[in-house]
This record gives sequence, structure tokens and C-alpha cells, in this order.
Amino acid sequence: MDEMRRNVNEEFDKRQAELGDLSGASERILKGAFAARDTRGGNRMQFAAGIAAVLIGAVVIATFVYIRAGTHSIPAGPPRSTSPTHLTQPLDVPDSTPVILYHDPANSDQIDGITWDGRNSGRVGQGGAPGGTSNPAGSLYSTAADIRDRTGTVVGPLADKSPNALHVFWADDEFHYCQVVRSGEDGITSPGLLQLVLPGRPPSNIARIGTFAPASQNRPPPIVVACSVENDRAVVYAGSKGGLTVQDWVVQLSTGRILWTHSIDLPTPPSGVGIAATRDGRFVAESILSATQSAATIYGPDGSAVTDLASSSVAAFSWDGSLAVTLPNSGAPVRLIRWRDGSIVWTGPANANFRTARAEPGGGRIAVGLTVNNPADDIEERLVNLYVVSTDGKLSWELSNLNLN
Amino acid sequence: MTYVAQAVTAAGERPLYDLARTGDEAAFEALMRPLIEPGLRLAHSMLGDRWEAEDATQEAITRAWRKLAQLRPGMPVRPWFLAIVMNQCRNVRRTRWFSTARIAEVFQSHRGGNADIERVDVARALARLPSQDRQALFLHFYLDLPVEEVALVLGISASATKGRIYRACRRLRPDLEEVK
Repeated sequence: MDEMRRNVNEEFDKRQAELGDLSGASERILKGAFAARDTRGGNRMQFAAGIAAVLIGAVVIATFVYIRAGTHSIPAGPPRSTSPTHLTQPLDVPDSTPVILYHDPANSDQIDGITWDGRNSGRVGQGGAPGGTSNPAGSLYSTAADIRDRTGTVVGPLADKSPNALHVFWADDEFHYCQVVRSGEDGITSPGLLQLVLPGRPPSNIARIGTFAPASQNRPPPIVVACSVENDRAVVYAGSKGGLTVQDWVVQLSTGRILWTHSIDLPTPPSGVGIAATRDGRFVAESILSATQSAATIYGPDGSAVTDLASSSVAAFSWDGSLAVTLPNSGAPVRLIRWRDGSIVWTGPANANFRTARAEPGGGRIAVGLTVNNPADDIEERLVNLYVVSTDGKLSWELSNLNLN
Repeated sequence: MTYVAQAVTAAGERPLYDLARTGDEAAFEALMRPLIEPGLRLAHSMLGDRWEAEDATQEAITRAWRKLAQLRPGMPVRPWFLAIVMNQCRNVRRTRWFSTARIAEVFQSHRGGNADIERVDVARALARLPSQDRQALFLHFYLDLPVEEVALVLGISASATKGRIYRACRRLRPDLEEVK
């Protein structure tokens, strides 16, 4: 054990070496923490002043998105919420009725569904234990090996070379899905291959996108964030240059043509870059992320900037693309905004963290999955509280401790 | 472990956390100062980047200040704070688009091509461990936290923590003896 511990600690030491000399770091971090705390107090005062100013009609605040938008803020909905229960009866709604799929609380291998109005729920099928994704309507879902329909019947196997079911990104036509697969052998660096797949049929190769590192390096593959058969577009992004740059591509599915692409350098001090897209791939949000400061730019169909969002990143869009789920800088609740004018439609509860969002296909509702920021509560990272919000900001219903993965 | 206990009780008449809870910034600073380095190292182990780790640690301190009311007398400060650091790091990397862009790069860059096969295997195995197992090893082996404190940070029982560490070690080298 001692030898193991020594070897493991040597490896940790190598990685920790990047931290270098830590003298001065404590002072810097402490000062920064106190400054951030004081700044936030100031921001709250500024926010309140902004609201007051609007109320008396004396001042128009138009430049800083979140303050301006704050005048339309609607507080989070009623706190009452129920948790899902084990379901034994099959889901009894027409196939054309969209549902949200989730893991049964008593048996994670069982997939259950609930309608977007929250009124009907029931058992859908098995095979969900390893995780997977459902199409927007919840009429098909992927398991580790195959695609199944709402009765749990296998529709077809996952296409050859599917990295795994989690990389299936369903298209907005509900039948196809996009994936990026390795074009070469596992042991070598090779281009990614964007494919469009109809379950049960051979994949169609669309374009070479991004790069796969040798499998042994365990690096992230290119990721699909939009797959629109209806609008003939897919949006893919990947890290490059050793993680210092993120590149995104908008690809025409019918021709494989790159419609536009951006390369985004990570800022200094380095942080992250987040890419989200509308379901039709027309608008792409590029967000610079950090623990304390974020900003996003939304680009239009030709790749030109449409709007900038200060102090927040964009995580998801509603089905029609008019609403965006935004994550303000640390400490502020998740918001649903009309991104063109910055008005806030809904504000999530305080002390909750964004995990996932789903848009109602063809509808206006959006389901936002949050975890409560409590050290004891969110150890089980798979469980979210799901808030289903309509376009007017009304919280339709809420379900706690839901496993959507 | 020792220095944390000293920090908590050094004020003499009133424990530091008691003073900190009343808004005494100096007491809060004294409480936090010895925890910054382990917090920063934990954050770095999860995020793989110095500046992100500093950001996360700084944010964790801000949150700790706001959560002081949760700190009850007798509650150990170190695992409480490290749990906040860990949560903050999870927040940073939680969204898939963030984690895929950065996090998976972390365990690649230092893998040297030296002749020590066993060490390379340990590095590779370590990189492939589930993150929760790796975190347990980091807290127990590298930060030298006793199992009970690791359990508090991870929010699981001490026996589950022992099991996790044992499992992680078995994955690194299958013929290990059970953690004593």
C-alpha cells in the first residue's frame, strides 16, 4: 500500500507542479474573495436602484443587459414539487404526444415518460441503465446498443462505430440522429466523420469535422449540438490545439459543405468555451465561461454576430430559438431570457446549478434541470429538479429528484 | 489536520468559527487561510488549470462566508470547506460543453515517455479512474485526510469511503491488500 501511495502521489505531484510557487496565492485568493463578495453587494444595490428607477419612470437603463432585463424578472414559481414514483403501468398517450423521458426512480434501467403538461406519465421500456438520449418528442431513445421506441421495442442497432449512445444527437425530424465518429483506427489520430443516421439503415457520411486523438489519450471527441434535418444543418464543436482553442462548424447536411466556422481562443486566465445552438442550427451561442465571469455572443445563420450577452453564458434554446437558458456569473440564478431584447422570462431558484434543458418540440415550453447547491444534496449528481416553464415565464410544473441521464 | 484544529481554536476565549459567524472578517480569514492551499490543490486536481483552480477556490471562500451559518460548533472546518470547493469545481465543469472542451485534457499532458513502465501504467490507470474514485484517492493519499474527513467531503459514509479507496487501488493494481 505504501508503494502504491507513493506512486500515486508522484503522479499527483507531477500534475500539481503546474501550480508552481503558491506563496502569494493565498493572499491573492483571499483578497479576490473579499472583493468579489463586496462587489456583489454593490451589484445588488445597483440592481435594486435600476428597478426603482424604472418604476418611477425617471431613468432608462439600456446598456447592461442583465440590469435592463431585470425589470421584467418574474420570480421562481411555487416551491411545491413532487418526486417521481415507481411506475408500473405503460404510458398511455398517442405516439404523436411529446413526452419527457427519464429513469424510473426504483429501477434506473426502466425508462418512464411524462407529458409536457405534467398530467400523464407511465412506463416506456427497459435498457436505460447505461444512459442514453431520447429524441425531442420522446418517441425513440438510445440505449448502449440499440434504438427503442416508446413501447420499449428495439427499432434498430446503433450504427457501426457509434462511440457510445451518449453521443447520439437526435435530429428535429424525430427519426434521424447525428454523430461524429472516428474515421481511422483507435490507435491513431484521425479526422472525425459527421454522420446522419436513420436507425436500422447504414449511416450517411456528411463531412470530415474535427479530430479524434488516439483512444489511449482519452480526449474529448467532437460534439454535435444541433442536428436539423428540417433546416439542413448540423452544428459541431471540438477542442483543438491542446485544449487552448475551441472550433465550431455549421455544416449543411445535404452537401457536407461548411457554411461557416469559428475558432475561439480561450481567454487568459484560461477558462472554458461553451457552444449551444438552436435546434435548427440557425443561431449559435459561443460563451466564454469561468467561475466568476462569463459572456456570450450569439451568431446568426451566416456566422455574423447578432447580439452579445454580458455577464452570462448560454446553455440552451427553446424550440423556436427565441428563448435562451442563460447562466449568469456565479452566484446568480439560472434565467430564461428573450435573447434578442434581453428581457427575463423566468428566473430559477437561488442556490441551484444548471444541469440540462429540453425544449418542447413544436411548443413553447422548456424544461430546465437544476441541482440544488448543497454539498450534502448534490453528491448524487444525476438527480435534478425539473422546472417546466412556458413562454410567458409561468412555471407549469416541477418534479424533484429526476434522473434524466 | 493539526494546523486546522489550531486555526479553529487559536483565538482562545471564543472559537474562530464563532467569531467568524458574527461577521468578524479577521476570524474568517484566519479560519480560511490554512485551508486555501489544500483547497487550491483539490480544485487543480479537478479542473487541471491553475487559474481556474484559483477562481474556483476564491468563489468557494465567498460561498463559505455566506454559508457560515451552516458551520455548527464542533463541525470540522476542513472537510466542510473542501466540500464547498469540490461543489464549486463541479459547477464549473458540470456543463458538458465545458467539460469536453477542457477537462479531459488534464491527464494527458504530463504522461512522459520514460522507461518506467509501471509508473506509466499507474498514470494511465489513474487517468481512467472514475472521477469520484480519483478524488477519494487525492483527498486521502495526497492531501492526507483521514478516511472520516474524506467521507465528510464526499458526503458518504466512512465505510463507503474505504470501499471507494480500496476499489480505486484495486483498479490501479489488482493485487493490493485492503486499505487498513
